[in-house]
Amino acid sequence: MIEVRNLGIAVPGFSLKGLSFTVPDNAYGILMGPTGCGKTTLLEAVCGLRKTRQGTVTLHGRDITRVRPGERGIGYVPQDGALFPTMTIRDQLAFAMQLRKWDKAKQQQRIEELAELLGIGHLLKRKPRGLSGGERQRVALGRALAFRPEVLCLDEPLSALDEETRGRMIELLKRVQRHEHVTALHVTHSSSEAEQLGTHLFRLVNGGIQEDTA
Amino acid sequence: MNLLSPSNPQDVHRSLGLIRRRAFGAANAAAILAMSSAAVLVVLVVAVLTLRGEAPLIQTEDKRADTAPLRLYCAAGVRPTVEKVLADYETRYGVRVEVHAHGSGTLYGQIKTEVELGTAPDLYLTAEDSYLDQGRSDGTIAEVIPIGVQRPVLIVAPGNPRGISSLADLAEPASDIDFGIANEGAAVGKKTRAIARDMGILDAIEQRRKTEQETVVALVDAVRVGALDAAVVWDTIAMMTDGVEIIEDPHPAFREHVSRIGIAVVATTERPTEALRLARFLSARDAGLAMFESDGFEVVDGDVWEEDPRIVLYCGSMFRAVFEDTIAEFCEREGVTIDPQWAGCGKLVAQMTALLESGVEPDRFPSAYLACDVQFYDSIHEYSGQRIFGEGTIVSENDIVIAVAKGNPHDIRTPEDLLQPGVRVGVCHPTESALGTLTRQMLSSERFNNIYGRVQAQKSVEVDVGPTLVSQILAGGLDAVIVYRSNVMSSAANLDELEVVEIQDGESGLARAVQPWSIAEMSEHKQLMERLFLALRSEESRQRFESAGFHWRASR
Amino acid sequence: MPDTPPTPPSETAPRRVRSDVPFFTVMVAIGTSYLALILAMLWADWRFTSFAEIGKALSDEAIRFSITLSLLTCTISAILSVWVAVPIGYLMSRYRFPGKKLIDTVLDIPIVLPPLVIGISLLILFQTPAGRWMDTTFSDLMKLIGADGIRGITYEVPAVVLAQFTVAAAFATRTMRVTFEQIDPRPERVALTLGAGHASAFSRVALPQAYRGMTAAFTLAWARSLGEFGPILIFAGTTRMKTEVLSTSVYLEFSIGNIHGAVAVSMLMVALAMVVLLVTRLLGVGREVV
Repeated sequence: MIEVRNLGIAVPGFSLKGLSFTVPDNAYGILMGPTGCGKTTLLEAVCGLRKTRQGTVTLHGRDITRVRPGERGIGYVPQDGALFPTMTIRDQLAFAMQLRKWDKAKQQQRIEELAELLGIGHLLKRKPRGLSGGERQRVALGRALAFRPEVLCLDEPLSALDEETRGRMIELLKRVQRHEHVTALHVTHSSSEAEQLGTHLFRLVNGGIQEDTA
Repeated sequence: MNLLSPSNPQDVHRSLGLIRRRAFGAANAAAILAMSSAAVLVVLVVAVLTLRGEAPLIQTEDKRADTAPLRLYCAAGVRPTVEKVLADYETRYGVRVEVHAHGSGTLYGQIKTEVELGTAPDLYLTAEDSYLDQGRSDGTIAEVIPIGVQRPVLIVAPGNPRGISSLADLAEPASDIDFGIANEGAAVGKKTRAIARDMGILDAIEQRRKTEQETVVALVDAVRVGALDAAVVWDTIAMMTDGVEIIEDPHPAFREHVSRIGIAVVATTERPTEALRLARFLSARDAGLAMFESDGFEVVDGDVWEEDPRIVLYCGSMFRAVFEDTIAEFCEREGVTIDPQWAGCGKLVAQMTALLESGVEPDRFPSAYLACDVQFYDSIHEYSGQRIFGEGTIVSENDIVIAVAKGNPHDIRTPEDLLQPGVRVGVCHPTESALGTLTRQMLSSERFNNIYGRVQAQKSVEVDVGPTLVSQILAGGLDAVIVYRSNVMSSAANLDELEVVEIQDGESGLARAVQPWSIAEMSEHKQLMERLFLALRSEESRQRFESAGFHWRASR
Repeated sequence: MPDTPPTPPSETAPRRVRSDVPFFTVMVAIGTSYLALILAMLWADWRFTSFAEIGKALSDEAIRFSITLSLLTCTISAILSVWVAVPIGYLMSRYRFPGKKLIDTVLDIPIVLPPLVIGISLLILFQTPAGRWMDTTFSDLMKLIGADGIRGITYEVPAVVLAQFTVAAAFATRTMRVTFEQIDPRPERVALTLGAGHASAFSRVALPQAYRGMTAAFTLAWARSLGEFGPILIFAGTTRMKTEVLSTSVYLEFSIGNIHGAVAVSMLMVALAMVVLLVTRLLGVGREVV
């Protein structure tokens, strides 16, 4: 469960405050809003990449407002993937596990599992250079899921994809959420994505959050 | 970025890619980079350290070899010669010298700054004498030893295609010769203008010159590459440069306006003795100067090289109290040994005469003589037609006075009062000491009514030197003595028991001894003696003389 | 617009683009003129020297010493410069903090100051009580490790390195800052969410991407060090077989009127610099990085 209460974030140029919403366990939350309204900022604050001024962020009842990003246990999929340019795909998938000092066999098993789930087995030896948009997103997704986070934050993961790929990605995301049992928070400006993926829909408008109970 | 992929065809890149992947892939790149570069750094530093060992010091038992090298700032044009001399010095004595070369003027400026900072070198070798004078007057430089001279000369392209024979040719109104001279900031520029002034062509030269350069090197190069037809530069640099020809201008002004090359000890050096020893080596006629001479320099009459020379010095006994400390300090600083012979001047002259008659070795003969009176110098400065001593320079004067017991119980006012019955009189021997001779001359004169014979008859004692008479009167054995004022004032305590009676000689100079200093012609350490003379003329020395009752006559 | 014809355009007529020939002619001509200047200088140098002269220079023990010393000190200075440049460049490119503009300006001082001023400043610095203490301590340290050839810092080899480093590090810092500014910070942020601290994010994600920049910084620092002259002259002196490096060798040879020797040493420097730059570029990346 992701619970955001009365959150205020310092952003140069505009201010976000009094933001509250709750994504229940294993739900797929969609955060919508027009470009430049602060969706990404809010997502980053949840991930711990932005300082908050007030309010709390709680994951499954644990207050993580002051917890360092690496200790929050959130899988983060940024826009365009933001892959590590110098690492092979295998290394990227292994990154979080290495930091957690998982043993080698367990790492290997998890990489294979993710590669199969996301269909990126043929890419493992490559580096990000030259990957297609869909491939990048799948790798970014795998990298974020590798350490079995309970929460997944996705920042416009489908915006740069063509129509066909997007359809396949939506299916993939659904499958992933089921398979990995994650609570997702997905930022987008596309209402079709919201319709196809979302179980809970939030709109960020005029600096406040409204929950669509549709 | 494609090179970072392993698919690169080139082997080098593949293996490098491997290394890089190891470094940047799984493991901690920063740590690996830092450690590997640190390892490289250590290797390089070790290489630098061992690089230093290439020129091993010649280990001598002398502990000087263990101390830091001496530092010498050297006029760039002289450096090649100086380095040869220094190599010789290092081989012989294991003393290393670091040379930093540049233009004399720049170096001088640098030394002045560094004297402030405390980083100044030990020695300064300049090719321009003006800096030596400046340095001495502003206190940057202590001792200076001359080495040689440079002369301005005219240089032209090889074969002298323009047929130039004199500086005057360049000044001809009709001439189209392109020539350059150094600017006034450079010593050679000053000398060139002085020469032109003497030749009466200064205005023409200033108007006709094509360029004015800051350094001689630039002028030499300009002539060499053909940008100029002629230039006036130092002969030494011209001789060391291929591709230019020197034209001897017969005008005497060219021989007159020369620049001295000299080695100076920087005032702030913490190792004056070592610095001076090196300076002596550089300027010794059978060491440094020989090298300078073979490199085409015109050199001075330098000293003979001895690491620790022993020098005999003759001084009238009157100077013992005022000169002994100065000599000791000088020896300490220079690292030399001086044996002063303190004696009555009559005796000293007799000894010198005897030495000359027996065909003395130069090192046994006094290198210099500080005479009690000019007449002793006169009597020895030539001997059987040969000059024995150089020009004498007056250092001081000393009054002849009558010393009596405090309160002047016999009320002695003039020499004639000595003839009172019962007055016990002491005088000096008329031939063995200057004081005795001068006493005789004074009292034999008309002015003092020729009373010498009567004083002689009256006298109780006749001794070699004035100090003995002072001791005797202090002991109460005499009532009046004819001595130098300095004999009385040699100790401040004397004035508690004695009183000085002036002898009024009415400006005749009869009651006054005049003391000249002179250096022996045969001395093998004339330069050293010049420096001792400088020490003799120093402010401290002056105070010693004056507080002892001498009148100071020397200029610094 | 320069390529719009002056004649009144007809809306329907097919547009005719002017020939590209003048454009490329001008570009190539300007480019070539500079290249020609460089080559002409080298050619002129060559006229003043010969293999025999260079051989003569190489046979001089003092020149060989100065080559070795130059190579060693330049490499040491360059490595030290990169060490300093990487943290500064990273911090300056990634974080905002009060006084950043001021620090930025301070970091540029060694670039804008005349080299002589750097030399004087270093010289004065090491005459302060703290500087003297460092000098003597360093000297004692050298004695302790048995390298009593180096007697302190001022006028010794460490002064050469310090003089080179002071200027070279400023250039390296600049290069590293630009490098990190061009590297997308988002992957580092992702690394943070994946469980990394700032240290691992820097070392595993940012630094590997800066490899080319570091090569460039190293090369630049090395080249600056090789050409460094003024500060060395003042702070390290130009003592033969001790602190004389190639740039000072050239100057010294020239100042005593030995233009052939000066040019011979210059040519050695040109050769040395080209070899080192080429090797570094081959090791670093195939492409131009500076």
